[in-house]
Amino acid sequence: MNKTQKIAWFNLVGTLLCFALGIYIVVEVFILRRLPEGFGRFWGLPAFWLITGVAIIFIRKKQSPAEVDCDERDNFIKKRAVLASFVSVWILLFASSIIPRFIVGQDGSIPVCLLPIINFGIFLIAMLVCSVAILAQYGRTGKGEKA
Amino acid sequence: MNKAQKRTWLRFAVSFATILIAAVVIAYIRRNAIDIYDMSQPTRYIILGLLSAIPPVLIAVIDCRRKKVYDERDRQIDNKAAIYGAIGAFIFLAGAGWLLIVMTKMGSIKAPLVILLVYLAYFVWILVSSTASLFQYGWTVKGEKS
Repeated sequence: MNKTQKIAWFNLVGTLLCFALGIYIVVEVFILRRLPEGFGRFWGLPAFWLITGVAIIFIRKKQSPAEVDCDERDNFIKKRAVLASFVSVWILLFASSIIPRFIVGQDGSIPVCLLPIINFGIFLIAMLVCSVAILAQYGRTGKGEKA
Repeated sequence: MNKAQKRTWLRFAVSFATILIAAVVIAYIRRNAIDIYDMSQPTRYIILGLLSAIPPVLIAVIDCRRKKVYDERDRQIDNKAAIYGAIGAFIFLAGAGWLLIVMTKMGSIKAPLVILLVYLAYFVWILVSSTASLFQYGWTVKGEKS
């Protein structure tokens, strides 16, 4: 597994963790209408630092001293993945601007606190698309790769 | 100045003019307390719909067949600029969201206003990416020889 794949895995895990945290907050605060107590309030922070620490060690560790950071193929894969995430961003932004009109109607209103949530959600989905596109292009495994 | 640079200048001009006009129109509407919903629906569609369709059409015309005029360096500049544009658009959306939260005191906004936000974010993207491209080209044609 090369550096680009490791970063993609890290992004994938980080994004999924953010989604889990977001769903947890929505369920606790907006559905159950209670603020998390004790460890439930802070579990996201240690989990974030744990994943970041593991990822730094994991990404810095090379397969061999001769391994390069990225080659032509890696750049090509990253470029296509970024393109896919850009396309998904615009599709999602377009959808997020059209859908509220159909839900609340032409003269309806939406709470402004939804805007940052929508933006953050789109950002996470873009990261997810980028990571998945990178991993899908590499074939998900390190099979056949030799430094 | 090569063709890619000329196209970048045009994109910059169109996006800058669009954002400037939008800012002036929004300021005018707010100052005079004009309610867009007072207009009849056909007028709204003609004025807002047709006028706001002009800049994206201009951008599409400028970008038409642009890949044919790009060499390796232009492509590299374009790729970097697109990433800066995306960052700019996200900062704009975050800033606009924060501003709306402050202005409405956690209230609500009309649903079609979200379309305006996304529309402006698109032009912020183009403006930032064009500016980033022009920065990378060096703004001037100094030292370029064909």
